[in-house]
Amino acid sequence: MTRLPKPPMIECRYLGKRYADGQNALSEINLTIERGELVFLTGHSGAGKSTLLRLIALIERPSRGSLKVNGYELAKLPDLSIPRYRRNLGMIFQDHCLLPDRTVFDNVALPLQIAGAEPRLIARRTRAALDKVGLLRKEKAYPATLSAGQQQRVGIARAIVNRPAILLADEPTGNLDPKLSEEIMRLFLDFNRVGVTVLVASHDQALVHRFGERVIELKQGRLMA
Amino acid sequence: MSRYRTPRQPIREWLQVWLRQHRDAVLKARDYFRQSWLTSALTMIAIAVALAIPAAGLLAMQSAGQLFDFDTPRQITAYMKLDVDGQRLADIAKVLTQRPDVDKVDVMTRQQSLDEFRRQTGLDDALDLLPDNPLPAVLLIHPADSIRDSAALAGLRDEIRQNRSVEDATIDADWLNKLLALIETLRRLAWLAGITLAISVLLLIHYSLHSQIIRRHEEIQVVKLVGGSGAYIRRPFLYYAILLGAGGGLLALLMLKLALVLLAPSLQALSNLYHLEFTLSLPAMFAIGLVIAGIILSIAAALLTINALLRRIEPGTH
Repeated sequence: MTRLPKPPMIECRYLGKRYADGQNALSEINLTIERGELVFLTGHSGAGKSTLLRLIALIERPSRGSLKVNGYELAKLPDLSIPRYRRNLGMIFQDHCLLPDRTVFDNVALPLQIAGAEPRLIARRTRAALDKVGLLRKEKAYPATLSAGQQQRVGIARAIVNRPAILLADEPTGNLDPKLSEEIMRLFLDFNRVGVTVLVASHDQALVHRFGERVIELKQGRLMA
Repeated sequence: MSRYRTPRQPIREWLQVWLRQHRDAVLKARDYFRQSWLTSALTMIAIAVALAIPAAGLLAMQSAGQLFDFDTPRQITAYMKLDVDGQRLADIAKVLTQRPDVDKVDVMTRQQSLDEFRRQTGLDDALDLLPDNPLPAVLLIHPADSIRDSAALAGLRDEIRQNRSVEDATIDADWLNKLLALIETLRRLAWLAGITLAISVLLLIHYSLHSQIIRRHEEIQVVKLVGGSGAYIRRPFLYYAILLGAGGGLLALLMLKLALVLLAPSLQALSNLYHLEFTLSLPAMFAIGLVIAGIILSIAAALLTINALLRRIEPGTH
């Protein structure tokens, strides 16, 4: 079997997103993110960072241009394939989107339960994910009893529990103080070191430039050179 | 794009995943029921009433129909004019007997009529006071088996009436036909009530699911974000609806059974009064059908509600 060179992980060509109200959230984005890269996406709020992440997560569909993830054109991916596509992504949000009526363990295990994984595998992987974010001892706690930083780490554990190829984080440190913020970013660096492609959106310029990784800036829906 | 399609799994593993997911969905449905047990129980009772009312009607009609299931005595009585003599009477009887739609004709002369009347009433003295025999000669016409429905019977009666020697002709089973027509009307009413109440069962389950789904709006969004398929999200709600429908059906059965037990003594008294073999029972097939009706209605309501609603709950919509 001949091995073809693997396509870039994320590839945008003249990508544009125009909302129904006529607002151009993204225009002519040309961007390539290679496998195993860690990229910070920065810019003021409303610059289009979230929109780009939402397009990659298929929460929105592109209006123009092409968006390929792992070589597959997202504009052509049928609605029915979206759930399976999302299982290869890990998503982290500013408001962490945890389910308040479930324990930390059940929140983190959710992606595995959805995939119908074996209970023993679920327990092993969930504890491994919680261990990575340093919350193994909190597995029986409910999200409301945790601090903001701990809640965010639960969200990260849930995003990595089924070992996604891509990790997307939208303002993951938005509610955290500088010290906690740096801790969270270091976690992403750790995941990146083991081969995960990571895309982190943050408006905090000082923070994102601290790690010496690639930084992309968006302004009014366009990429800055 | 194998990566985003269902990978080829061994059938055993696929079955295990399928079973696990369905078991989880059933457990979740049970949780939904527990978390809002009062609303769920009330909905179940409402469904039970909506199923029990038309079912009771159908059962009653079925039992009433069995009352008249015996071969109904159908004959036409032709009352002759008083001036018809014995010879003419015999002639008319002979002509009638030759008709293909007539099986046989019994002849009763005026004297026989009087004797029969005396025998039945015992009014000898009163009759002796009369100067003449006031009773007409009578022909009892038994229609052929080919005359089944009451319209054909009425046609035959009308033809007999046309005869100049006949004063009047009546169908003896008239009252029975009227009663059967009434029962048929009631049976249709029961079906109509059944359809109306089936629609209300659909609505009850619809509202119940609607509030369950709206309440879990956030959870559904999160599940969609981490890759839960439509089927995965739908399943617990579907099982919840089936739980309501099946529970409603079983409860309806219980209500019917209770009603039968309560009605039994008075029905027995009624049967004894009229020397009738009348039993009101709950056949097994009917019972199973009732529960299945509840389940089918709940699945229909669930599919209509869930699909429309879940499509609207996408991540990023609020």
